[in-house]
Amino acid sequence: MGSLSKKKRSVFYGYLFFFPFAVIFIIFKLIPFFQSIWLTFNKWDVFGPPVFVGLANFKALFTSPNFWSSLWHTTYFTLLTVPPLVIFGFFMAILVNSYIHFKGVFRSVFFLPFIFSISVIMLTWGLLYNSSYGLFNIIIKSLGLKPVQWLNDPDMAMISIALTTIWWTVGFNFIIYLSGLQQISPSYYEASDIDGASAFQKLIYITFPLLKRSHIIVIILQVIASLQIFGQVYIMTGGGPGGKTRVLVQYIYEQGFRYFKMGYAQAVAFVFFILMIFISYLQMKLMTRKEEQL
Amino acid sequence: MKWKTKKDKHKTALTILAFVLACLYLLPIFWMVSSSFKSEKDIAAMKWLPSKASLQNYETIIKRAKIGRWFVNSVIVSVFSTLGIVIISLFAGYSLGRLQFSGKKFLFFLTILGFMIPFQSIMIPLFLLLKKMHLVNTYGGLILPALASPISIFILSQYFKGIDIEYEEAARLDGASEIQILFRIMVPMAIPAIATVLILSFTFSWNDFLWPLIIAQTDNMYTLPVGLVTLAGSDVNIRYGPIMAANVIASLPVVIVYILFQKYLVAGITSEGMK
Repeated sequence: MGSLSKKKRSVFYGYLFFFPFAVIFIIFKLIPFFQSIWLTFNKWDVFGPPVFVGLANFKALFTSPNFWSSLWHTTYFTLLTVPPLVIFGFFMAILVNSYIHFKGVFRSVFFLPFIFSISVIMLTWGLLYNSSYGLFNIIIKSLGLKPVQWLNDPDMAMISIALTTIWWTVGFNFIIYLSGLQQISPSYYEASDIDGASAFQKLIYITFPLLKRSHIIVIILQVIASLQIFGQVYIMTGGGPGGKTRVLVQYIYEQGFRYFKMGYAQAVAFVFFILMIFISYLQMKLMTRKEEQL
Repeated sequence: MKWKTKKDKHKTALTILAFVLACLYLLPIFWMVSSSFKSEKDIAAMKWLPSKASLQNYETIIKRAKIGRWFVNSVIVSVFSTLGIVIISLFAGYSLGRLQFSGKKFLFFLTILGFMIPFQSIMIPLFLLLKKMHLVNTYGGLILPALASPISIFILSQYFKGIDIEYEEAARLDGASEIQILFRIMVPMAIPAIATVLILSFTFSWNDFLWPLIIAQTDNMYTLPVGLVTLAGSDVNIRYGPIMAANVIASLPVVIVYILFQKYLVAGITSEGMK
């Protein structure tokens, strides 16, 4: 390459080195994405040829009670999980970052559940939730209370799934908050010590506002993660009892891979895509506007 | 001997609080491990610890299920996905992080686009595409779609950007090629970032559930997460004890990786937060 000028060499290698990623990205992400739009206008059971049906898939889904109930279950799960996941993550980080021994050990412990596979966590909690010999009912019975039908009670099932998810994933938010806390300069606290601020005042007036960036990251990522709920439900309840926990991604999965209604399933997936983009956009907008005001 | 000050007492109290929380927090994991050594009788009798620790459950699960095969599948898929991601992202990260060329902004935009498309919204056409390519129920089908990892490219290109230009210029004067600069200068200096990408990709791949559930169609091709679930659902003779044993087996590799490379995993989470 000796004859190439430095600039030309840079262009050549710039594209050459990006090329392998671009190939994989285009084949396995962009092409399916464009195909997904085409698919929403077709009826296709995979075995025969696809049939163009216009907007029929969308008409069908907006009149399907199962679509609306799974949309609601996803929303319900998101409402149940986002506030505790953000609040617990925050306070766990405050605790571990405070004046205590063995910081490193506690950090490892609180993050630990996050590294376990979804199947391992859900099967283990399936045992914990077992109504006759699960750990939780052992404890509840020993307190003289009535045992809870965690996963079999239609009103309790989604709450149980949310509890498991909170335990499993709070470590992620905890770590983001912890790294945010570690970036706060001690000089803020020294100044407030001179002014005689209490620990509570320091938390409210210094720590909380200074973690603004962490709040934004945690809330945005958490809402997106919660809306994608699938595995927990699929493994623990299969959508039951009585379809009371069937969530949107599971609805897509079942319609596509169990009933082979590819076009219809993709129309639901497209609605899911729009929902995700819309909510991400809305959150960015709201949060950055708040930032401007401060 | 030092006098105990008020601050020290405070520290002890907070440590005890954290300790109690940590114990409660670990309870489910303790229960899983302890149950894996219990007999069904002990489980039904709701004992906290096995009355006699036995490896019976481990024997049962290894004999009755294809757990060995799933373990190997998981290793193959995770190792090749991780290696592929690291190599592809090293090149792309170097391109975006160090080289100056027109059109780079567009390539950056393309990479960001990867974040915007949730996997769930393209899993159906992706499956149909792989079916056309005859990759359903193959290792290729499990591995290839995972290789494009925008987050890894960001982590690496950011790190490359921070490396002092002097090293590169010195090598260039010596007539080093672009490949030599990447692998002799950049890679050794970017070990922390590479380790982060490595562990993040490995953990993700080892634990991935939705894609293997779709693409692996016979129990010979299952990875551990999918195999475990079918095991619990299909075979009524396999009770809680053996399932907990399977959970322990499936978790050991990630726990070991976690203990060894914790620092980098945390760095990875933090940088994912900062994207």
